[in-house]
Amino acid sequence: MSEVILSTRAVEKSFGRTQALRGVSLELTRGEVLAVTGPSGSGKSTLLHCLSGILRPEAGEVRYNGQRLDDLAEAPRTRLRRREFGIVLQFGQLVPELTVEQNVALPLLLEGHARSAARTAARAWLDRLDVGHLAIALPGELSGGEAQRAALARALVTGPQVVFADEPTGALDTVGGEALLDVLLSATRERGASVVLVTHDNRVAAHADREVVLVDGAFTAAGVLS
Amino acid sequence: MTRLAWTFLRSAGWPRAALLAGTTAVATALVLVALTMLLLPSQPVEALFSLVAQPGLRYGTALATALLVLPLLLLLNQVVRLGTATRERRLAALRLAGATPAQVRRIGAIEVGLPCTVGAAAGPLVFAVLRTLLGGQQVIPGQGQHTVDLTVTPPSDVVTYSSYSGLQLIPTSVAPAWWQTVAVVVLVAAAGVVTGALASRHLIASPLGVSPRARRPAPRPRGLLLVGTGLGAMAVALAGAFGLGRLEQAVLMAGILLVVLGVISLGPWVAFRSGQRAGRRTSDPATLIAAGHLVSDPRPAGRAAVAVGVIGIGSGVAAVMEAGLFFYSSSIDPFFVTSFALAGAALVLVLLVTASTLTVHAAESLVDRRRVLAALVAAGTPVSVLRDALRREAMLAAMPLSVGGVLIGAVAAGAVGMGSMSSTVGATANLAGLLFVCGQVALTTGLTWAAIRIAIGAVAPRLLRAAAPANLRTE
Repeated sequence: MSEVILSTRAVEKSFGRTQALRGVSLELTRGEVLAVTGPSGSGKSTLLHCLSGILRPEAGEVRYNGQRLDDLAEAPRTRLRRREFGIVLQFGQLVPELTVEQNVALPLLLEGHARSAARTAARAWLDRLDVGHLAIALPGELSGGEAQRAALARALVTGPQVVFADEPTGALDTVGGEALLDVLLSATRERGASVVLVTHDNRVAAHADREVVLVDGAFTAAGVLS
Repeated sequence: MTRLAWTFLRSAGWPRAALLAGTTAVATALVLVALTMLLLPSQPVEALFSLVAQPGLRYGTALATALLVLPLLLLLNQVVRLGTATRERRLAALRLAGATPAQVRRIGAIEVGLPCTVGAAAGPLVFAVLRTLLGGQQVIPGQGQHTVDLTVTPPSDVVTYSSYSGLQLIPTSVAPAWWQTVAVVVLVAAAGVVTGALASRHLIASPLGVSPRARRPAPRPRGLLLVGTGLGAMAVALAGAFGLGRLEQAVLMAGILLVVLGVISLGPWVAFRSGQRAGRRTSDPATLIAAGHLVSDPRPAGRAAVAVGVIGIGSGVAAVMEAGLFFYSSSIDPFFVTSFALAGAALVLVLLVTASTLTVHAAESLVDRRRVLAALVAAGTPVSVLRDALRREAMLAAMPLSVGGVLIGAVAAGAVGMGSMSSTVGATANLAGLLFVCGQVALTTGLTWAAIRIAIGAVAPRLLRAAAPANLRTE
């Protein structure tokens, strides 16, 4: 049986009077690609935020490698996100004032790596994702697909165990989206990392090993896709 | 149109409108004070502090008072920009809904112009209050005690006079005519309206509110030309003798004005260069983020920090003059002590205004970048790093201006006074004077540093809100 790397049990989260998650439980195994699908406002992004430690659930628990994540204070949760997780959002995640290379090197600099080592690692990931030639460009000068590749490089540069992707292809056309998913999944599978892929697009979800469907903050269906 | 602007004004919040109105009111009052000083006859009929009463010193005092308006205008400019991102999205939506560029421009002008007009109209009231608190004292000839206050110059036709309490800085025997007051109010209000119109000018080219993403050209050091010209004019005015005629005085004032305007226009360039240098070498994430933001858009931070340079010049000049008084004079004239205390108080007040400007700039910057900040925190960047980045951005923009300003002021004032002092005193006094000036330089830069710490500390709660996960969903 595969090793469980991330799990939730009866997680609940509300925003004011709106209950975004109603007792959600799931398990993610090492190397697994899990798609979380559902209509808009169903709680997909909130679940991703709770899983990655960005938000704390009001009830239930989230465990990473057996350790309670929701109990941790802000500083250790931030460190955990930086060292163990990679996060890719739909858009607007790169610092617009920094070059692409500086953006990718940023997590390593935060970890205390030397500038030259951080730059070398950033350049290697950018080359690997076919955007090495854009290293000194600003994010505003990139196309949507290029910006997402740069964001992916930043998410992968620290060697994360789990990559969280929230509608990563939402701002891209079909061809660009497919290409980005190929890169994301090949890079993570090669490293044996797990992926939580939030999407409302069935074509994107079809790339996952397993899909769970969230409606009104609760799972309605789950199944193995491949 | 006006109703729409009124709705937007209310939705932007009353604190912003109050800040706009308050800043404009004080600026109007200061212009009226300077104007009143200039209206004073050469022999005043009231007892006034000598800086105002003496015709030879009066123009400089009026200029210094008028210059106090500059930090206020910089604060006004910053307050106008507060909420720009939200306002731009709203105005862009209006364009999409069919508003013409002129209509959009008009809404922006009314939204800012209305509180500025209210503030300018309230300016004469603030002036009246200041006149009551700091007004000159009317004297009845031949009456009063024979107590002499050296800091106050009595009217020339009075043989005996009372001991005057308080600071008599604003003439009360003369006042601006009604049309002069109206002209000042209209000018200050117009400055507010123009600032409001200019704040949203780029929406005309971009009705969707999408800012141009291409790199903007770097600022150029054109202000150096103004500083050079100003210093040249000052040198020419001071080259003759110690007694300055009206023409030399006018040239000297013009020179000072040019130097100050030059330092102000150098602000964005200094911020850009400072950010560029810091970003090239650093491996510290906070400095990297701060430097990147400065290089990408040095103008707002540079404009917010320029008052620091002006404070520096004033402080440097004062340091040299104080050193001259304390270490090179046989006796200390109370007039000078009071004058320096006034100058010090004015500098501290300006520093407080500057801290407010930096606070408003930092708050605005947070609102503009909240999605990126939220994404950075989500990806594992500690909030403390973002707070450090904010502080370093302000430091990178302000500290070179502060140190440079103090040095320019000290060196210029030292060059003027050196010939007459160094030959008559010993090496110990020279060393003590030099140490005193160095101490003042350290004090000024230390106060600037403290002002920045206070400003960034004031926006810390906003930083937490800006980096909240909820902003991951904002556009």
